[in-house]
Amino acid sequence: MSATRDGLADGAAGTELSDFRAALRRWLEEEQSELQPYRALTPDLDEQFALFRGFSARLYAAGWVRRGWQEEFGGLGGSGLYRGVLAEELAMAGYPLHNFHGLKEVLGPAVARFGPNIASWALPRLLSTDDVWCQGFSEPEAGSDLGSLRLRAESAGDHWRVNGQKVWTSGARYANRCVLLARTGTREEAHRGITALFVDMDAPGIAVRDLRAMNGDSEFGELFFDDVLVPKDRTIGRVGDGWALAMYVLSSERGAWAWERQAWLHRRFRELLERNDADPRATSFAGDTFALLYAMRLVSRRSIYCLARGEEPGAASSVDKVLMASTEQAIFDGYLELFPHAALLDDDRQSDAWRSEFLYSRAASIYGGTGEIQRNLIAERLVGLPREE
Amino acid sequence: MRNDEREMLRSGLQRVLIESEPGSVGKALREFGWIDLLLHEPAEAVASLFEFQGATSMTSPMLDVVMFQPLADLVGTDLTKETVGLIAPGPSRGTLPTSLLADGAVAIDGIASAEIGTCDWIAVPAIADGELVVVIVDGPLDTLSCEPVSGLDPWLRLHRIGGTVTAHTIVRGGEAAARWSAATAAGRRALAHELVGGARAMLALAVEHASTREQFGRAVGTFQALKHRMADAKVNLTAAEAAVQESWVTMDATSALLAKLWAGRASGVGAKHAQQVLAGMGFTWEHPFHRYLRRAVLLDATLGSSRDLAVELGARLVRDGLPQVLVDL
Repeated sequence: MSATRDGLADGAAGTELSDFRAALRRWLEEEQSELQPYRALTPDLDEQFALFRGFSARLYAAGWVRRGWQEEFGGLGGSGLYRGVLAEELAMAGYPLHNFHGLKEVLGPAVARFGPNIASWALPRLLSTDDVWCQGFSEPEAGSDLGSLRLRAESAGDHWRVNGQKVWTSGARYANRCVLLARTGTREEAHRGITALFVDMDAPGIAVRDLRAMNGDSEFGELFFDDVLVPKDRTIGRVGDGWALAMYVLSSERGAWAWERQAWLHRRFRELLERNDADPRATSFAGDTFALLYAMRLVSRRSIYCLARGEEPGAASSVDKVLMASTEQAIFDGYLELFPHAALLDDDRQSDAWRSEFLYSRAASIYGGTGEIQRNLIAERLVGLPREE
Repeated sequence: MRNDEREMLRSGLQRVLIESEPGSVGKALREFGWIDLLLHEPAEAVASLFEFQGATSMTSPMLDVVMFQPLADLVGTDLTKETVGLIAPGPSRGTLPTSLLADGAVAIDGIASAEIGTCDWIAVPAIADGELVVVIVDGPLDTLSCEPVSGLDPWLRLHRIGGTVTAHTIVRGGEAAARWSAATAAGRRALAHELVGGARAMLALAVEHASTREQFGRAVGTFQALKHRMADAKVNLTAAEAAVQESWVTMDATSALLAKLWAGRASGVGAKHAQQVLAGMGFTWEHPFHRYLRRAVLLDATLGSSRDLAVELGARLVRDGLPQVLVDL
């Protein structure tokens, strides 16, 4: 029965994917000593970024990160599933998937879909890591209620004049481009009056301030826009298309991101199993958590199949997100429960990295739409309950 | 199978279940050709029958046939011509057999869905000297006791089987473990479909109620507290559906275990939340909910509850480590 595998975009047959997987594994083995430094887990963000950039350059030069992206955008073509295999093999071989990597998956496909004219020059630079993108969506007054965002873009001849503020922007201090949601219509138009812009982060009038998260990282930033001029040819898609783009980004952030996370979480889960703990709680933790990982893998696979066919998973990706949050939190809760001494007291780099991931996992049910928003979407769009008046 | 063919098959099958007397469902399904379907398109046969059973809380004796199939070649049984039964351990903690084999005779203590007295062949997993064995008994037999089980779900039409009979064929050692594992996996896949059918039906009952029942001047389904219950039921159901589908792709014991585990969870979570959403209505005898609840609890406990299965899986993971890649892209 291969119903779930039917109709992939370019007929990437299972054998092509497994050939790709085998070749990638071979390469990772051959280059193992050269690539060893990129396996390092460090809580230091600057180090993480440097490692990500170095590793991405190697992966780009060898062509691995270009598979599964369209040729007109600097890729080597083929089904988007190649990207899914890449993420998985890297995770299983012990290379951490930094958020920078995830951001490519979250933002790249949306810009390719809605703004091909921009993607044709910008995506190749994203893939080669010459450019780093960030996501300007949330605002202090627009979190779960993203449709009420206020950052304004006013028409000024050939330019948009942008004023306002963004928050919770991952990788803001490292990014040189931003996919920005701006209000071009009235407040009353709500989600219909939103337009997406592709903004250079060095444009005059943009200020970035670090936002230190509870794990101590400044992975997030705040963006301030003061009369920033953005050329109109940097409009992604048409004026008013911003909400559709945002929904596409969010379904990638729930679906494709969940696939990347499950790859990494399998890796972390394996490490916990290998600590070979005699605690009877380990048995029940292992069974429950593996069942969650298995479901997360199956359900997010469905989403990346859907994305690879060029379709939008829509509200179905909210299921991925709920499962992802449960799984991620279960793994790191389990770590704390089974290895309290290391988790709570030890100051070596390993324990530090685990601790940082434990703290970061608390956000899994918040970012990309809170667990409550996901459940509203599931109840209204998938289950068919009436909307609130 | 094409979609229109599948639709035709499913509506035919459903008519058979709806129109047959409870005691003659097995015979009617045989005449319909369900056994042929099981042999040639097992996924379709099991999905169409067991999901409909779950959706309607109807029943058939076909779980025995599904579980017997991986054993049929031991005695050269032609399932299309001969009738078979399988006496499994009833719901209990763990999944170890409760029948005992000694001196070529098997003391049977177990549960079956088929009319054991009229079966041509009966399979019994048993314990002999502390080891698992699979015993095949030559029927028909009128020496076994066969009591209808009432219990929590009398509509499931189970029978409690007891008595001592001579074994026809005994399989021991690694072969017995492999055979019983295959039979268990087949049974778990079928039960997973049935549990998923029931979980969908309970969710549908709750959604229907929540969309029409008004309190405080609005449909109760507009309240977020209810929405989140239904959303959690849907998340578990989606996971179960994916796991059940995958179990037919990989066709191994682990994927069957995970399908049953998730289906049991989905039906447990679904029953709990549907009960709360249905509130007073769902607590009446008249409302169909209690039939689904009874079925959900009983089927979850059969061949390993979701809790048992998580522990079984966890013990294996702690011992053997994580399988390389369980589900391919």
